[in-house]
Amino acid sequence: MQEEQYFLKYAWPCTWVKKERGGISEDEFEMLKNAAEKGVRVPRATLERVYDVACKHMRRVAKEMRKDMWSIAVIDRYFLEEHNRMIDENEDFAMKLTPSLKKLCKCSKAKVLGVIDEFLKVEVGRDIRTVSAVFVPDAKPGDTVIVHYGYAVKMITS
Amino acid sequence: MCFTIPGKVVFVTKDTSMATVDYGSEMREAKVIGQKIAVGDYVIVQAHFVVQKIPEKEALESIEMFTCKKNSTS
Repeated sequence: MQEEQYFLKYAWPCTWVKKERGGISEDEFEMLKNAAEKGVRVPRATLERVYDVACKHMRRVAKEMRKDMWSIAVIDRYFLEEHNRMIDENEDFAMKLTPSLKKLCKCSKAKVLGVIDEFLKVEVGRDIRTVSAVFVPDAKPGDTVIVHYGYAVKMITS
Repeated sequence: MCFTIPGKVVFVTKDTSMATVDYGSEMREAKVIGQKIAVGDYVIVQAHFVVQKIPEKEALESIEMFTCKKNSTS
């Protein structure tokens, strides 16, 4: 998988929030939705403009890791560690989030309890959540996935 | 800021597969999948389905925060 598609799966749930706030045009939303769901590569310049906050912090993580920001290792480190740390410490985009919203906003490991059509019932800590399985069509009960808001972003193997 | 506004469930279909969610300024329909949702619950909806129920106290806090923010920036 290309870095752009990998990034977009993590960032996709935020696009719905942007849409609700009127922070993205209808056309751009549909373009990104299609790209996220079908794994189409979106130009980096577009991703850096739409997801400016995430990319700003990814750039910082990349510098610390001495890697290119568009690398799988940097994208994982940002979403799974730095982004969650910022939420815990109320930094930048995570200011004023209430406890439940913080949990939804974090990229967390979740256990798949059941598959219902194209959705998964998952357990995240002590919470039960419903997430879309569009990015993990092969997930089954017992699997561990990474969840972000209403989506399972990817499978965890091992 | 990257949070979704919670809404209040005002109607659930008999087969419990759909809920009507009140956001103050508008009502929206949301699919209910694998969750027990009742009228009066506060929920987070994304991509037209209920992701999770959230405690009322917290939901009201989020709604108030959003309303304040909207008023102060408009």
